[in-house]
Formats: sequence, C-alpha cells, structure tokens
Amino acid sequence: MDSDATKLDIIGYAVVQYSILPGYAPVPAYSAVELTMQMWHRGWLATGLVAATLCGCANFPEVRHFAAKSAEGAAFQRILDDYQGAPGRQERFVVPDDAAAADARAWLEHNAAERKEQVRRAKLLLTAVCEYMQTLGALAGDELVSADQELGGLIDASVDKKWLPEDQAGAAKSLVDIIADTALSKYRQRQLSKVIERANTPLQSVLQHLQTLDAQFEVSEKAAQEQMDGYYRFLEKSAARTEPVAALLARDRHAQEDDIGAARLDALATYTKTLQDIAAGHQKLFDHREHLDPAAVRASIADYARRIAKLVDQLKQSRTS
Amino acid sequence: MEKLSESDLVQLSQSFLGAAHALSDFLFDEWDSLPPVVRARLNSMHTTLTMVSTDLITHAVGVSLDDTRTSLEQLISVTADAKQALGKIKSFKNTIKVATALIGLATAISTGDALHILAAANGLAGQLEAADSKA
Repeated sequence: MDSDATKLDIIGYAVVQYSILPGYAPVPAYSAVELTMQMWHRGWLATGLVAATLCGCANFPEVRHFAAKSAEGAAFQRILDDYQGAPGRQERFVVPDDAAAADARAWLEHNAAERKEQVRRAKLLLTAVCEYMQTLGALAGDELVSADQELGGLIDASVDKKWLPEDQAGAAKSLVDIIADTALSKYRQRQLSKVIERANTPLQSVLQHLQTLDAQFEVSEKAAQEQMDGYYRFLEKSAARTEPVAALLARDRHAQEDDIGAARLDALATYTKTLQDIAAGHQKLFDHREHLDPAAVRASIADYARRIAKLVDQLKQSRTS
Repeated sequence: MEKLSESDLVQLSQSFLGAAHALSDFLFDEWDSLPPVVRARLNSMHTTLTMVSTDLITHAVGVSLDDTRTSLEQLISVTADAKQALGKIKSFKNTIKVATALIGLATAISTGDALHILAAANGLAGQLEAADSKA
C-alpha cells in the first residue's frame, strides 16, 4: 500500500502536469511548497526575494486607467446616432410646397435606410475598440495575480501535515506568494507586451478610420444645418411683412436649433480629439511595450488617461439633442 | 469607370454644400428684389443641392466602412487571443485552488476521519467543477 507521502507525491505530480501552460512553466502548487522548504532550509530565502524583486511587478494601474477611459471614450455612440438621425431632421426642414419636396423626401428616406446599416457597422468598430481596451485593462490589472488566499490554504495544509514547522509558515507564505506572483506576473507581462504589439497596427487603423468617419459626419451635420438654416430663413422672410410674430417665433426657434447644431459639431471635434489621444496613448504603450515600468512612461500614460477622461466628461455633458 | 474614392466623394459633397450655401445667401440677400416664383425656384434648388451633398457624404461613409474590414478583423482576432491569455491566467489560479483542495483531501485521508474526508472530497469536486467550467 502507498504511504501518505507517496500519495501526496502522485497528487503533486498530477497537479504539475495539469497546470503547465503552453510555453510557460508555472510554479505548480505542490512543488511550490517543496521549493519553499528547500529554499528555506538551504538559506536561499534572501536569494529568492532578490530574484523575485528583480523580476519586477506587472501591475500597471496607469495602463488599466488608460484602457478603462479609452473604452469609455470609444463607447460614446451619440455621434453615430446624430449621423443616423440627420436625414430625419432634414426632412423636417423641407419648406412646404417646395417643388423639390417629393424628391427630397425619397432621397432622405433612402439615405436614412443606408445610414442605419452603416451605423450598425460603425458600432462594430466602436465595440471592437471598447472590447480590446477592456481586455488590455484586465491584462494590466493586479487582481489576477493576488494568489495570496489560495496559497495561504496550501501552506496551512502543509503545516497541518507537519511538513512545515508552524513558526515558519508565515514566512513561507510570503515567499511562495512572491514566487507564484512573479511567475504569473512574468506570464502576464509577456502577454501584455505581445497583445500591445499585435494590436497596435489594426487599432491605429481602426482609430484612423473612425476619425475619417468623424470628418464625414461633420459634413453631414453641416448639410443638415444648411437645410435647417434655409428653412428658417425662408419662413422668417416670408412672414416678415404679413405675420411679424410668426417671424419672431421662427427666428427664436432658429437660434435654438443653431445652438444644438453647434453643440453637435463641438461634440464631433471633442470625439476626434478623444480618438487621437487613444491612438497616441496606445502608440506610447507600443513604443515602450517591453519596458512599461519606468516612471516617465507611466506618467505619460497617466497623462493620456487624464486627458481622455476629461474629454469623455465633456462628451457626456454635451447637449446635442 | 473607376469608382469615386472616399476623399473624392467628401470633396464633392463639400462643393455641393458650398454651392447650396452660396445660393441660399443670394436668395435671402436679394429676397425683396426677387419675384415669388424665382424665390420658390431658388429655394427648391437649394434643397436639391443640399440633398445631393447629403447623399454623397452617405456614400463616402459607406466607402470608408468598406475599408475598415481588414483592420477590424485583425483587432477582433488580437482581442480574442488576449482573452485566451487571461483565461490561462485564471486557470492557473484555478490550478492553485484545485491543488489546495487536493492536499486538503490527502490530509483528511491520512487522519482517517470520515467526516473530514467527505468534506474535503466535496471541496475538491467543487474546485474541479469550477476549474473545468472556467477553462
């Protein structure tokens, strides 16, 4: 019959086999205890701590914040809704009895249908950027490497089993925690760097396309405003002599619509700046993907995150309808 | 005939919009000197020019969106891979949990206490199930 120790060896071996990830040698749970014991008894504790420290920490709150704010900025869809709604707004501003009214309505309805499909596709672009940024943020987060709780249980089990003297359990917990965190950190850091490297070209391209779309939306918005402007001016001029009150009301309404139109154009400009900052911030990550730790790099990413957050706040406050 | 590019379409749209604006300025600046029939005709032309501008910009957006396909597919693919990497990190954490449960079971077996063994076995089963569902 197998002894208890042999049973544990088999279980430990199984755990090692189960836990190996492709291209990555993790610190398996059972052998981590053994390793700790060996290091402890051979006086390698200091060496282990130094090694773990040199491996660096892979928690990047600045990257996480940048990714979160970028995701929030990319998720701002009102710009698309305004573009989609423009033909409907234009239809309201066709002067009654205008000889071109019937053609204009047919044209606008066709455009509205086409834009509905376009906006569905454009929203995919925003969703892709948003999803990417959320995933990037999760990779840069620290919650995934907090192995403390699980390892605590492991060490407790070892103390119960009398493998580890109780008075050394606390120190062992710390050491195993560092080893496991370092292993996870290194894996995650490598993944983070790889993901940034692979994503940069398509992301920059998508962000560039979104800026192009923004410029086109601006032309669309100006066309809608031109139609609105002509409509109110026609009403004002037509009513000026015979119905002065109606002319004043039309002028007042015209001014209100002008303000809303200006807010839409402002929002478009703010959104373009947001996209530019997301692109520039990610380019910074790409340029420093192998060394995200230096204070200057972190400060620069934090700065992009702050700027994007400010722009997102402006977008949220804009009254475009 | 070669199709118009996105920038050609934008430029044309802006030109039509500029023409509509100029026509509108003329109409309202000269309003008093124009007979009603001319006013109506000019207003109608303004509407048509604005519609053409709108239509051209809708086409430009369509062309731009067609151009995004490759980049979009690449970005989606990178994101999927990144999520897989996250899953591996999570499953490594699951492995630690499973290992803890396994050792707990082994410890319970060595004590010979039936209740402890049952509790530890249940704990292990739960962890294995959780690891499988998250893997």
